Amino acid sequence: MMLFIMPPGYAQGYMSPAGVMISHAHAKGGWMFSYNYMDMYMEDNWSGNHPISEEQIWNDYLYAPQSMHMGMHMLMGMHGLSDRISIMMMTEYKSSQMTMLLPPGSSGHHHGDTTSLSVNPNLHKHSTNGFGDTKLWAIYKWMANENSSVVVSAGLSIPTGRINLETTEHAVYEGEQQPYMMQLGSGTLDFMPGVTYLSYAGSFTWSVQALSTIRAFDNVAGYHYGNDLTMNAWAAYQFTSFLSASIRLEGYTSAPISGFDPQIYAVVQPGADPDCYGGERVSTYGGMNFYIHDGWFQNSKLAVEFGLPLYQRVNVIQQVPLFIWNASFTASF
Amino acid sequence: MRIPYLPAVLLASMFLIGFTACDDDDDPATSKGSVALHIHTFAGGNEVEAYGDTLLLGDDRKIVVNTAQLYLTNFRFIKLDDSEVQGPATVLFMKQGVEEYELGEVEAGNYKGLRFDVGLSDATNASTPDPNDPALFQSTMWFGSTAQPDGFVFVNFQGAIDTTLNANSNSLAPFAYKIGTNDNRVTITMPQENHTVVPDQLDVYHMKVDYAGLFNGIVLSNPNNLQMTTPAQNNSVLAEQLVTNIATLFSYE
Repeated sequence: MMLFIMPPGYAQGYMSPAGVMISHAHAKGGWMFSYNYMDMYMEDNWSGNHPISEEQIWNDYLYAPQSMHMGMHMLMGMHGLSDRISIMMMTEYKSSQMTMLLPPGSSGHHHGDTTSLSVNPNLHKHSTNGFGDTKLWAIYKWMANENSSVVVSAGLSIPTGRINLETTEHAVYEGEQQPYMMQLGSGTLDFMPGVTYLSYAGSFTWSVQALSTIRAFDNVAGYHYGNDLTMNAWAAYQFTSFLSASIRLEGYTSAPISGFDPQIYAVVQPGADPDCYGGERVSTYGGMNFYIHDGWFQNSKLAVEFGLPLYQRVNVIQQVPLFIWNASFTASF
Repeated sequence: MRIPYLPAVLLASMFLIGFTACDDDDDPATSKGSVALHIHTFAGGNEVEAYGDTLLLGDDRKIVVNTAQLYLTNFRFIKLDDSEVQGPATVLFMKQGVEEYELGEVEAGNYKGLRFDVGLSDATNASTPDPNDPALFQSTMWFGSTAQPDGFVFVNFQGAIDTTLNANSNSLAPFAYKIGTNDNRVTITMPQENHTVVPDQLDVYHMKVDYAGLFNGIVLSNPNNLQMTTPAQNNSVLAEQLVTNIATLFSYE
């Protein structure tokens, strides 16, 4: 079997899948820039670990969610301050759309949107987009040898994304605010500790990782998202000098929102109810990385990854992802 | 590799903090919307625009309405799972000529039905109304010159009607139905019609009350069937039929 050795200029985590943000620390003076895109589409409504009907949702909420699509563009820069410590910064741009439905024949569409009324008087649409929170990390290479490394990351999420977006012309009632998931940021200063083990031996790389977000403070509206924990295990194999493939298992758990925004009426839809956040999800991903060795983009890679949920349990009622896909372009210097 | 213990302890502490803190004990924002009824007074499919007008019932029988008023109370809103949400404790005095009735605030939500009582609760029926109470201080809705001791009239429908079998007379006989007493309070469940009560918004139920329904099964040619004005008369075969007929009066517009 032919072994492909990591080319000069690539960091140790160069085979990491598109959806993995942190895998390694850079050598002193090293730079890495990347553009990442995450796309998630949600459709079915679940309660606990099973689907529920729209009628069940309508019993407690005005609208039953029909679908939600979220795209997130992330620009990231990473620099090795020393052989042990790297810093990383990320800014994100979020775009979200969701549709909701009133019970058939209901007399509730109050905002007078004649365009949507002519199509379906009970269908209600929301969309938001804009810059989200800004994230900073310090990544410490705790242990490293020829074939493995352990890096510890300590991150801060700085609340630069807005949390007071209103629904404007599609408001159900005067001054209606977008539900929590449609806002651009968390509104809170959050801590993001993590630890990553990476093992690499020629063409084969594998890694396990634990990342958390600790939200200790309420935002100005009076709530904060629940703490979360993400566990990643992935393995990648390099088939040729320009191609590798990866598989990844991701476990995610999160608590519900604590507190609430008094401008968001929980009764409107599950996404406006703080209790309808958090839960557990296990997803599996398959990905491919394409490496560029020459020209302007030498030491760069293009990565794509497609994921499907294997297990989901949600708090109260939530829409669940049908699929997630990630793409990234990374250039190392 | 030697493990540096201080970073390990710090990291473990952060995860521990993250997953032992912040359970959500708060109540999310609750919200209410307003509900109003828009009710038209009808007699045999014709709207009673003014007292004294001569109208035709379905069989071309002539009728003149002089009084058409009733009490609606104990409003309940039926959710999609058939559970009930209690509405505001409003005593709604409905009469001809007034179409808008504010019920008050109701928990925001989706409702497939509306249920209410025609009549007053036992306690209210036994009470003496405050002169400042516009709903209950209505002498036309008392059996006597005061509300007590005889209680309130729940439905007061009066006028004159052609009592001939063939409904072809211009000579109309007066009728007066004063339906009351606790036993004759009737619960009405409106047909299914989905309504969404939105926070801070007004939702209006458009209804009509067709008083001619009270004549269903009543033999008009019998003069004894044209008058029921005392509490004692409210315990009779005629009263039984009239009370049964109350359920047929209400429909959505």
